[in-house]
Amino acid sequence: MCDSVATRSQCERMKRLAWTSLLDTFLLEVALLGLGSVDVPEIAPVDTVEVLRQLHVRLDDHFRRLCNERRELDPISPVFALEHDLLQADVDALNHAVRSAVQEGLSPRHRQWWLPFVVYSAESGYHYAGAEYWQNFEQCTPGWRDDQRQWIRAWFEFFADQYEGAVPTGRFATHFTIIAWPITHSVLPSDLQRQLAQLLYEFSNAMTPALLSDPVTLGQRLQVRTASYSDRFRIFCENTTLVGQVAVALLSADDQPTSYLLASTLRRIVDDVEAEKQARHWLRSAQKTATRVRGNLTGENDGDTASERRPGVTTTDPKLFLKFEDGWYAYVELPDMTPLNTTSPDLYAQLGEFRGLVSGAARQIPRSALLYSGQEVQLAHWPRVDEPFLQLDGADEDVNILLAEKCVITRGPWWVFRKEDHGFAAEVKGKFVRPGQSYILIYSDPTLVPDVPWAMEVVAGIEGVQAIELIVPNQINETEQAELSSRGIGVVSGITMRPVGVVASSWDGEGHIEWLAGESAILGIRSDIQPQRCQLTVDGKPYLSDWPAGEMELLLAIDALETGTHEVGVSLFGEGDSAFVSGSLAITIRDPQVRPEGATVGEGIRMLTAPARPSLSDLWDGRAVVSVDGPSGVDAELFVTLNGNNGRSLSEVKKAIRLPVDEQEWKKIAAEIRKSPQFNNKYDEAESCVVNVSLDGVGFAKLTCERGFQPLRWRFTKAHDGTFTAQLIDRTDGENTTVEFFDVEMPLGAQEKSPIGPIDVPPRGGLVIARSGESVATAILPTDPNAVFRLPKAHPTLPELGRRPGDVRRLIDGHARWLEAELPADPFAAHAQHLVGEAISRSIGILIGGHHWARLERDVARAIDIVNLLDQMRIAVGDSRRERELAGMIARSLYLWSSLETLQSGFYNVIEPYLSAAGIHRSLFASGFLLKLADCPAALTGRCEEETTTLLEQILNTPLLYRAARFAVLATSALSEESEGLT
Amino acid sequence: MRLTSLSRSEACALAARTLRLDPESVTLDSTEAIAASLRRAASFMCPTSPRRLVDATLEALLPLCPDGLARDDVSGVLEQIVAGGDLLELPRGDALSTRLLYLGPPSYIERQPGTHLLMGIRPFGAPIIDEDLIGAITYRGHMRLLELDPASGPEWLEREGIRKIHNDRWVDSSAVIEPGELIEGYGARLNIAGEAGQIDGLQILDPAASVRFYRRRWRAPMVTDSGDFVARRPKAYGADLWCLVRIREGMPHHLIDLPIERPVGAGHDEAWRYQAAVDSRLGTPQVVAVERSARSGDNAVIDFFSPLPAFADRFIQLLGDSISKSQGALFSYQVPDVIVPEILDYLSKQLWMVEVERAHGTDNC
Repeated sequence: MCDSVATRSQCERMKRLAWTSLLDTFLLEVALLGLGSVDVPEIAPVDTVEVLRQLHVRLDDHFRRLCNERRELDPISPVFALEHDLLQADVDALNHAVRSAVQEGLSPRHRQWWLPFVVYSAESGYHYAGAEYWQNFEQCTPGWRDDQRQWIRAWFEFFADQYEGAVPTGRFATHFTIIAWPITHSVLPSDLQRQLAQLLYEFSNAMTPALLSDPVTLGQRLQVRTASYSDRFRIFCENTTLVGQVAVALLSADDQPTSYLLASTLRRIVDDVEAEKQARHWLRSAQKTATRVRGNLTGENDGDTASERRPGVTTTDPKLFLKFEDGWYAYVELPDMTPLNTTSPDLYAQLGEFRGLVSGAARQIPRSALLYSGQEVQLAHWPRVDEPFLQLDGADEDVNILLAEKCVITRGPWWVFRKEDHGFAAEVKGKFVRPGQSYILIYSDPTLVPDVPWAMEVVAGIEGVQAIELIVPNQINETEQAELSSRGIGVVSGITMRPVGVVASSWDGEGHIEWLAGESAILGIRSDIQPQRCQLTVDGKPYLSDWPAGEMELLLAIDALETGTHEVGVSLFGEGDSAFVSGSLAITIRDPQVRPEGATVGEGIRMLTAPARPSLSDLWDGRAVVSVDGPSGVDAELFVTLNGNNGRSLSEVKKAIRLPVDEQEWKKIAAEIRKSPQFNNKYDEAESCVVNVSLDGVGFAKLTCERGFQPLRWRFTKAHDGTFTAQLIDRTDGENTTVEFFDVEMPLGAQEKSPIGPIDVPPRGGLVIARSGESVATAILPTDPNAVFRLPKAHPTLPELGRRPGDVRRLIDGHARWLEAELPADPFAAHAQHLVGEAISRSIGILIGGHHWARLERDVARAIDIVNLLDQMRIAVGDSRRERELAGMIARSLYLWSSLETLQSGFYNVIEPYLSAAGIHRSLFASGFLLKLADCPAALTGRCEEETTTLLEQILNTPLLYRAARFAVLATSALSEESEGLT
Repeated sequence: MRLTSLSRSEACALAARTLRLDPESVTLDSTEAIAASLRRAASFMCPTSPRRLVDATLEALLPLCPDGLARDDVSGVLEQIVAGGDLLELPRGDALSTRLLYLGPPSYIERQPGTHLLMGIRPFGAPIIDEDLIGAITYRGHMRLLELDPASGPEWLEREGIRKIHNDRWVDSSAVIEPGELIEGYGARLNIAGEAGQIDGLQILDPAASVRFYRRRWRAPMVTDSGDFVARRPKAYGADLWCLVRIREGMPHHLIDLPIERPVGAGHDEAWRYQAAVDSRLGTPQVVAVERSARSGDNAVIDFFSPLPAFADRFIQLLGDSISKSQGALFSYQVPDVIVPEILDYLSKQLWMVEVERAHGTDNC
């Protein structure tokens, strides 16, 4: 907005220029009014208040007119402060008037003319690029004070009230109660323009005339497609109405003015978008498509709306199919679930956070996998009819209810699959068969097997069901047809409906076709007997067509069918008035999907992350994991780029990796990269990171991680002498920000620090926590390794605590503070974090385990090799017969508990009777709780407080339970480390 | 919604436009349309088996091809686009015995300055390059060529997400060796291979059958067969599994699955090169026929009667264009006359092929 702080003389000169601009306008107006020439007064310094007043009056008039125009729209469209319609010279004048007012103290005299301040702030928002709004604002506005920020909100609220101005909504508005206003009123900040152009381009095939005249729905449809976009853009798109209105405006061509945005503002945004070649191309292409869609179909949209009228088929239903190996095995392909995001805004986050549970599946669906289409799962059992087909393990109830409603398989008792060549059979959802074809029928009730000579039993590799193969002859007699009908299986003959000319995006071979929105679809209707006429019904609406003379097939082009699933009925007529044959099919029109940057399941290399779109620190602090699919045993190139502000590259790390890479392998790769100096030295400075995996001719996949839009963030600066300072980057509105420091030696003792100005970091580092409202930033501080070497070994000291649930909670919370903090790229800091984590875990052991166990914990802390203490641990579990039995069972099982899964299930089996004896009824939950308390107490935060307190009370009353869990955790970890050492 | 009744020719034209082809210059049974249709099917169906892709394409195109469309023709085009890098045949996850087709990444090689050969398929039916510029692509058989300004073209392609592959890396020719050496190498592997056991549906490539009729060379083993053979066996859900099998009196004894040398590649590439070596050793080397132009500076047509491993096919794609096959040939390329000796030399060194007189005869089927 401004390049530097203006000097007093510069300000004076600018004020004169400002006045000149206003004066020019005044003179022009006078001339137009025919008042003839006037004496031009000598240019002299002007009163800032007077300039503000004139601008205010002019802006008030303008916004009032705009407001009245927008009120005519249905629904009412808001006014944005960026729609000020001032010429650039006037904007310059306004900028300098505002700056002068601030330098003059922003008194009530200035503030009464508040509209220029609103416009000034919106202009500042337009140039906002996700960094510090206030820092830039203050640099451009010398003399601005923090305590004046409240005025901005007050002015914008007044603007919203007076002129139907836009009101910020969404996550951003919740976190940033002040700056959300100017940023919302900037319509589309510059750094998001490219992304919106890309989104519109990717969506352009799905545009319809109805959508282009319905910004609210358009915004919702666009928002669900933002999964692969930056954090800030996704937050912007949460304001779906705003996005829809801006999109409609941007998609209007020059000759098609829009009611949602002032022409001059739209032109300005379009010009800025077009300043970049690629963005210009995206936008123009999307505009062209929008123009074609409007032009082709204006007035022709007759209300065929997307529907879910056919209860058995929705766009998010799974697809069942069978594959023949040594018998018929069932698989399910799950579609991309993100279209449901329009119904439940939390769905996207929860699909990324929780594993999917498919009824009957042989395995769970990894976190994030349901964000993409093509997830294929084998069914070990046939799905139960009395439970939802798809759920997320641990998700909110409303999300699971939605999935239960929108992702369902067809009802039994039969499931009909049409056989294709060589061991593949796709489900016929309509449950009918056709003469001359072969089918596999899955059933669970043997009494329902149809008694036809061409049915024979075949092997089904799925528990809970059986299978028969129907080799339907070309001619079926009436008895056979009646037998099938009595079993609920229809027979269709005499008519065939199918996609022709172009392969449909999906076609089950019988009754369900999917096409992409925006494409012309060709449907072929073939009849065994030549009809005279054909009547189609689409969602109940009839269409009549003559049958082409001499042809056995009628070809129909279907255009502009709304997205969603439509039921199509076909009746063929001969000479008479009654149809001689009928049929039906379901047509689904689906928005074209966009390739995720990690690639699709059909590509040679594919990268998946859990959780989806991890932040930079999630990825490199080990809270997120990556897996890379690709041809086994082949080497690919991994390329990691750290980027700073404005996307400039700071550092690049290249590495060969052998495919595929699973989560464990990724952890090793990530640890190696974090240790490399070229990564380490730039990590803390980086704002984003791009991970590329590629192999020429085979595939490429990419993952972009950002710091995330963090309201608070720590940044560390290293001095020449090796010491560090920590600086809080506060992007909030600066209200009530607090900072606490925790020393490694006293990890639970908070020391208050000032949120302003740098903090000198002690040689051993420590932990800092900044808070502002709901925003929190925690970071482990970097260390000065040279100084650490000179210091004695650190011994974290924890306060004396009682054997009370509240005290254990305090330790758990402390553990979480340290373990969940962001790590700098410093192995010594990671060591300090580990040291504190161990000390707190040990302290919990000492607190709960009792006197003997406390001694063991201290021995463990001093031990070089914990494996040597296994016997001592077993004995310390307890000395009664019952306690010894438990310890013995654990000791004998340790070698079987080599993975987390085996430890969890094995420990549950041995501890369950002891939990019951202690009166703990939810034994599976309690078993998991004990293991977490013993291994990683931080994992217990965020749970129901009452439940946690009750369980802790029970554990404190029966410390044997804790000792058993701690023994299992310490011993399996020691054995695992030993075995890794051997290999 | 709008419903329009179409004549067959209108439906063909609409289908061609939807495939982003010019309905004035291609018919739906042309190699160009079959290749485009296969690419589209693959963009939705991958990973999938070759058979399912061919089925889907045939099902869509056949109703609009009054003269029919042979399954072998569609399979042949699929083999060409796999060789060209539009699709990849890869093992599926941990199930190494199941090989499926995956989408090749959008990539290009620069045949000559400004002339780019495009390969790869984007998922979900998305065009390889921007929709507005799709008309600039020239289709030559299964190949897609794009002329761009030599200076700015690479940057533009990069921006479109299409990556450059260096020509030599793309072709990745095998080492030049004698046929006997290649056969002995595989024979040594067969010597230590496990027992083959009962193999259902095994087909062998008959070395005694004419090298001019590739498809007729395939048959089931007979009791008179003994020796090492190129073979394939159907996989219930996946690409046919290619192998070398040691047969005694018609019974398979030892077997090795292909590929061995290059895990990223179709099994048939190694099988076809092995067979070329066998044919050469038997004194019946595989052949090409060349029709040279009457005028100097014009193009020649090279007819092939056996399929080429991907590296050889790519070498020729660098120099010439795929065209409709000549009568009797399995496939044909058009190349500048002056390039013919270079191609023949390459085929001779890599696949021990020889040139024969051009003869008009029965289709290679």
